[in-house]
Amino acid sequence: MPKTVLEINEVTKYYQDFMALSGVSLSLEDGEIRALIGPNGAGKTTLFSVISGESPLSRGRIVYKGKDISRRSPWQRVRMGIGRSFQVARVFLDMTVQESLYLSLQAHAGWHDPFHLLNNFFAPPRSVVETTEKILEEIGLADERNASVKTLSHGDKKRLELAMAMAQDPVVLLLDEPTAGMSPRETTDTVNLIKKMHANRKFTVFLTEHDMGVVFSLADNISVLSYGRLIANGKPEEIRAEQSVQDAYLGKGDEFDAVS
Amino acid sequence: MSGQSPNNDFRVLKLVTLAIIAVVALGLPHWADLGITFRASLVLISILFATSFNLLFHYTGLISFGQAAYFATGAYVAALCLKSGTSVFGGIAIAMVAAGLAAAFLGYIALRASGIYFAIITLALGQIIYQVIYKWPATGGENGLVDIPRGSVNLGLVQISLSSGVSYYYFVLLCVCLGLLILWCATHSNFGLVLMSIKQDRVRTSFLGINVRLYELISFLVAGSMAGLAGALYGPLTGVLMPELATWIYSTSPILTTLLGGASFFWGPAAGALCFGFIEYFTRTMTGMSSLIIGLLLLTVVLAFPGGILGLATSWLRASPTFKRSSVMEPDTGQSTVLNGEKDNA
Repeated sequence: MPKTVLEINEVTKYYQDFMALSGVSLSLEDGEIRALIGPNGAGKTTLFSVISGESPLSRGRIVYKGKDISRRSPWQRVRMGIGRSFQVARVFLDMTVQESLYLSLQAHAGWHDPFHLLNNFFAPPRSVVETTEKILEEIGLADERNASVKTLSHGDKKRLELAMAMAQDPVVLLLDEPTAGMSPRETTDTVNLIKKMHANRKFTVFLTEHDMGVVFSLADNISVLSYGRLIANGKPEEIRAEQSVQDAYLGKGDEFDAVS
Repeated sequence: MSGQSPNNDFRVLKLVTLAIIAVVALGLPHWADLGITFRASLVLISILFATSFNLLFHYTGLISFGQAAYFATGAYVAALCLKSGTSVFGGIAIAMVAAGLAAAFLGYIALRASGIYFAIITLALGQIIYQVIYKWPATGGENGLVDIPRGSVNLGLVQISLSSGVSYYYFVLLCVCLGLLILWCATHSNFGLVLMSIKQDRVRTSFLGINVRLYELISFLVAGSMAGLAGALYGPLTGVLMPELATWIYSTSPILTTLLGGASFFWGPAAGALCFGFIEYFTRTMTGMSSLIIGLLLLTVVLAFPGGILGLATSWLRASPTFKRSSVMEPDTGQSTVLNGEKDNA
């Protein structure tokens, strides 16, 4: 029987008077890939920022592995195993690709105990160097390892961000539009990369996406958000048939038909 | 040397520069008079002071106007220890701990704000330290502290008195080199990498599971204790401490030094301090002239060469045929030879 890793319980979020999320409840099973879809402004990014701790929720609870994490700070949630990427890749432009991965891996290895803090004054340990090499091969940026991040293409920046999150061995990975702004070719590559990494590591993925092709080729389950409310939840084929979803995407219904 | 790659040529240049600096620094008291030796000690202290400021400024991305307060904390604590008979190293250690804790505590409060508000709070908190020194009888109040002894270093078998200008100069040289080594390690390691990531995007850094606040506090602690070390060396050198040392006006000195030398280089503040030292020496007979020259120089640097002296030197080297196409003296982005050992061979 599947185990729930992340439970979002009646979460409401106000921005001043505007209710961006209204009593959203859903739970993620261990190892599934769940897509969150909905028209622009439905509250997808808000839900992500509430789960990751970027902004505080107004009401409700977020329970991770049985613990209420609603009040934890972002870095604590990451250390507990909830990684994320951003809609517009947020990478460190003045670093090299390799340094970005070192940073991420070292942060995961634990900067926080005093021994590691001392270790910080020396070269990265062999395990970090080896894992970095492995990941560089996996994401196809091995030749770029000493390139400055600011010289990377948009797609490569997003791929690097994905790798930085993946390097920390997350239990739940939140991906905010992992293929946004990518060429069709880059999109296919990224979808395959996510599939491959998911197959190897068996983490839970929660992603938002506008590209329905990506959604239907990755997701085990789909949740639909509209005007801050969760209107549907289910297998891809169920969602495609759902009338309320068709209505929410009024005038965009062809997006569903386009995907066979 | 024509067969060598530009990178190797550059390495030779670096080594030659280092050797010249080492020879000059070690031999200085033998050919210079006591006045110059005294000035050189002051320059060394301001090198450490400015480099400690740059740890916060360039590496962590925090502009602090409280640096003089940490310097003064170290100076006063060390002076009071020495006056009450503590050993030299004991006094310095206590001064560094006191200054580091003061910096971390003030940083803890100031970090609740950001940007310009953060800078103003560091300024205000620094002024509180100034007021304490100014009003407290134990620190000599507005009259300051006088007759600060230099003490002597006990090496088991031999006892070296630091009372002469020359021996104190060597003592300062040693302490400043150790302080710079600590700062170099702090910036050229994984720790420095985290500081750089915080500077670039603190929110993103926290989403790597890094406790940003803790790292900022540690950088305050390190920068504060190094400023305290500089202060601890300063008191016994001049023999006199005045409360004005703690005011924010003195906090601008490492800022100007750093901007003149080039904030994006680890050795930028050192180059700036050296330059200020020369200006002050050559204008010593003309009252007010040094301020005028320093003002004009800073104006020129900020407007025309925002990279500072080292930034200018780098672009000259880049333009020269020998070093063309090589990555001559990349601005220090915290990436280290430790981290990127492979880079040169690639």
